[in-house]
Amino acid sequence: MKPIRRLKSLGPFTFLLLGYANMLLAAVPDRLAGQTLVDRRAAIDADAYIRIHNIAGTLTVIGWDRDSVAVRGTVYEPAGRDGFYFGAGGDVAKMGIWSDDATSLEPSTLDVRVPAGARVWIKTGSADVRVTGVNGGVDVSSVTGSIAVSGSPGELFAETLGGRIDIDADTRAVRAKTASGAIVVRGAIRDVIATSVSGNLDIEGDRFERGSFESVDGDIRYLGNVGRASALDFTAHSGLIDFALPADANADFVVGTFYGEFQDRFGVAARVTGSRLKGQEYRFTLGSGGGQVTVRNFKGRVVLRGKG
Amino acid sequence: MNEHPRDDVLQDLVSGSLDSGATSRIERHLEACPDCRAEVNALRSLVASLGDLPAAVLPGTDLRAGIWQRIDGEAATRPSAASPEDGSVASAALSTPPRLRFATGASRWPLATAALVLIAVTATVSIAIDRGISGRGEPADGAGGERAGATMRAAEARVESAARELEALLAEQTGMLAPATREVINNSLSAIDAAVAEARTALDGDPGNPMLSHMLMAAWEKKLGVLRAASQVPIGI
Repeated sequence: MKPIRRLKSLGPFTFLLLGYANMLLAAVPDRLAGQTLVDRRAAIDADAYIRIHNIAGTLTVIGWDRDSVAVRGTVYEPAGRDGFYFGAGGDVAKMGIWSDDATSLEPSTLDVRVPAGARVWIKTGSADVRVTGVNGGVDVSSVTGSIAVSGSPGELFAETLGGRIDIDADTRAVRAKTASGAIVVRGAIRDVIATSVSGNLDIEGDRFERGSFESVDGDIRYLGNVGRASALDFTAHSGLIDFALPADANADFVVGTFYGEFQDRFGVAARVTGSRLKGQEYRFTLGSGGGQVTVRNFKGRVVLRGKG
Repeated sequence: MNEHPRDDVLQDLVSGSLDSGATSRIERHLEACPDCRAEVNALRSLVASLGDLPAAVLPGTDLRAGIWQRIDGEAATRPSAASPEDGSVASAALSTPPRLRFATGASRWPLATAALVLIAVTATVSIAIDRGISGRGEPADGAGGERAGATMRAAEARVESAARELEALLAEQTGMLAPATREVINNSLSAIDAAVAEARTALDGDPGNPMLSHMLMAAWEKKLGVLRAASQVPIGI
């Protein structure tokens, strides 16, 4: 009797509210109708080739010390479109969700574990990608998603039109490319090429052996020392190229500008050739020289300054 | 092999960088597929027209090609009777998402052209460097400057042609892209076009300038890169 009395005391307004709440709850399954929980795993070789798609949302790939691949997450599978796929065995695996028509697609979240030695190929539309701990090769391409890779991939390719690329790696080779997204590269890399159209490049390259960094109107900022055996190349059309170097830097510089200006805040004795009409070239040596640095800027500034 | 090989696999075939097993598989497919055969013949003609370029500039197979080749090859050779629930690669192949819109049929051609033109441009610049007009070399003047200018013009013409094809391809689809993506693409192309125009004007006044040559080609390369990437964006992204 007590519960009934309590219900009666709630009054008609409360029942109306409960009715609305019930309607809202009933609507929730429809809104989530396309969502599916994913939890798949399979044994594969330690150095397997793995292909992963995610059209929208987020994708996290982590290398682990097991000979298996596992994927967990929530995928959005709208009616009439391709759903989540998964297949693995031996030295290959592929999984993910993709569509040639991403209109009105809700995000999917995938968390994938792969053998640390796997070679991983990833493609996303707008999904952000994070890869850590994969020691085989890593190749990521996205349209507007951001890409973050850390660890020691055997080699790394990262490309996104509108997203940002953030690399902190100890690797043999890096290729990073954006249109408008910023690029950050640091680590110990034997051979790196980073190019953007309008994105800014932030480079910490004191442990790079060979590097090429290009933008059109984005800024390029280099922070750190230049290795004695390094060969670094910087090209911009109208963006700033800024070097913040330690006082004990040892490098040979060639700076070419056409309409751009070279601003020396480091105190170098540059030998200047050329003319204002046809461009100028500045050559100078920092410390005892060693690392080779070539800089080209059509009409942007080139600034040399001390670190800190 | 029933599926059409991807365009980069055909390029690898033409450049001779596929292993013997993959080469045999692709060649068997070519025997039965007139479309792919025509595409390979066209690619071979293009490569032949670039025959005086040093082989050293041709890129090797990269990670991407290796992974695709491996996975597609495995998927194609596994028994097709596998249960869809068994988690095998063969069953996954049944539900593999369709290839990107521009990776099939005739539209693959401009993408392949762009890739090969980039090779040609790289080679052209390499030749120029061999002839002593590198970024660290002295500017060529007089007859040397004119030769360098002619080399650049020829390389530029090839890139420009490939860019036009890709721009036409993109124009057909641009209305179906998300506004933010369209803005990124348009802004990037505008910035590159401005850079190309300025560098070209400057180079006209100083044809032997190695820095300008380098910058002009770098800008063209970026344009082809953006157009190539933009042409493969799914609808709605």
